[in-house]
Amino acid sequence: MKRIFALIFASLSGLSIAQTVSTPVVGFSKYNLSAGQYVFSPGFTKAPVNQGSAVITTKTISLSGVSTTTLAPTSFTDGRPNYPTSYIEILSGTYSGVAFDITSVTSSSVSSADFPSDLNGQNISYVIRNHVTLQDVFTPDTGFAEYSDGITVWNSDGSSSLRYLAGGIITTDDFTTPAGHMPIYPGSGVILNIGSSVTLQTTGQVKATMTKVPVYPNVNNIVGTMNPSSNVKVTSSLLGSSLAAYADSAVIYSNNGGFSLLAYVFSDGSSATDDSFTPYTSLNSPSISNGSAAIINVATPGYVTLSSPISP
Amino acid sequence: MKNKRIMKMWALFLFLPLVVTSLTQAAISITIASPNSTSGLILDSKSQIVTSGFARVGKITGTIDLGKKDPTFSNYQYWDSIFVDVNDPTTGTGTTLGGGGSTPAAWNFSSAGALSSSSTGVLSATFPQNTQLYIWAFKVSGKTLTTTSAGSSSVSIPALDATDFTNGVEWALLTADEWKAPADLGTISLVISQITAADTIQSPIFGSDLGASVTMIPEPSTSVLMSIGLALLLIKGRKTKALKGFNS
Repeated sequence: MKRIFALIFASLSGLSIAQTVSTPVVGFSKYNLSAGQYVFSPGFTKAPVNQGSAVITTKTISLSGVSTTTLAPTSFTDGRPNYPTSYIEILSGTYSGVAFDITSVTSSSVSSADFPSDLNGQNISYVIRNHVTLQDVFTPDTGFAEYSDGITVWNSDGSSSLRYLAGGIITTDDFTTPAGHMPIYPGSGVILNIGSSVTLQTTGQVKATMTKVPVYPNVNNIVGTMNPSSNVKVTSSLLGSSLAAYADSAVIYSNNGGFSLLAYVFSDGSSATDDSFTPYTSLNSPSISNGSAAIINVATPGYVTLSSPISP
Repeated sequence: MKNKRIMKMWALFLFLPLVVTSLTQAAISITIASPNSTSGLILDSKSQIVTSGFARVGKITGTIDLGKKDPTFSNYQYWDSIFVDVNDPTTGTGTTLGGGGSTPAAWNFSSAGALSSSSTGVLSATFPQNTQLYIWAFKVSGKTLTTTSAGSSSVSIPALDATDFTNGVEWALLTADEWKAPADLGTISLVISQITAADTIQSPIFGSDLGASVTMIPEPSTSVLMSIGLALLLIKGRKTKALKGFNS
């Protein structure tokens, strides 16, 4: 994977003298991928649709000014798969950094059936965003070969979904059913198999807060870095504290198309270690490239925490 | 210090089995891409849509004997004995052990002659990276693949018998330069239009390349009859021409 450049800049709209403001960092990254196999993670998110604080009551929060058509999950009845289109990310408390799919929307509330019961009654800070989807990244002008270049998405039940470009759109592996609206969850990614070179461009906001990516047993959990502009050494990541000691593992592959194994990462309970449980140092630490990801295998469900590349 | 080292060794010893079992699942996915004439279809020997039959995908573990290209029962037994399917079970008896992948329904020919969808969970231990992959497609009545999930112990591929080969079985054995097993976790799409004369590998092995699509070859009896018919037509044509020349 050859990164051409990443342009990151702060959006200054609304900035005025003598105000304390936080400005979102937005930008894009462009990747030239030669033929081969890659683990790919976009690293960006979409801009917030709504944010604030609210009390969760029976898996629902009240708010105003949201569009049901923008946030509601799809409801196709013609055979197209249905997916959530948006998520609510908790920014405070135990679940800070976790994104929950929005499963229903009204003009004055959003709900997530995935909210854990212990969030009920809690006042939380939140942000609502639309999902980054396959069709946001894998457009026909990328050079993706129709019927041939494949996108593999691993699901939480251990199954995989294969997606292709056919007739100018992303489809399921029947090459007919549209599936470009399939989300790429924050911090996660896909596996690409491409026959000849393509150019991918990712764009959006750089998250200023941490991200917790859910990981499941018996699944190839693809977990990136949320840093779209720089490689991240595992010693400066939170892998060491996220993986279960001596049990969970992360595998880092080369990102030159060869998909050769670069490193195993384990944990001794606090530090990222090699496969003999010797902690990596900043001198010998393997890195996860921007736009790439590690494959993580865990024994029990949990979260891998990704820190933000920027200060909030 | 010494105690610490011993503790570390014990930790290593105790946790090693966990480590080994927690490594990434070694599986790949294999797709057939033959949904329409753009991607290429597998047609019968008369270039017609195939609406009954199925496709097998796998690797060949013996000699590619071009003398056994005709769809006869004895030739079928030969190829069947050296063909390892991506979607056969990995354990059991009475079948060639395969890659353990799932079998999709869409590997049976549809009414539009299409094949599509993927076998997932194929063990990369059986199909390591760069293994040459083949599609062995059959036009046959009354035999279909049974859908299975990855890791199933059920046999999904129907066995053809001598009777089938008296009822006009046609087949094609196809491959292309691009049809190689991907690295672990990857996917490969076997696109019929990738079969070209420019391939360095013999492609197709049995069948004819029409450009995007390919055709099967018929049973020898049918080919012999077709040849005789063609020869008779030629002779008739010559006679008519000669007669016309004589009359004029």
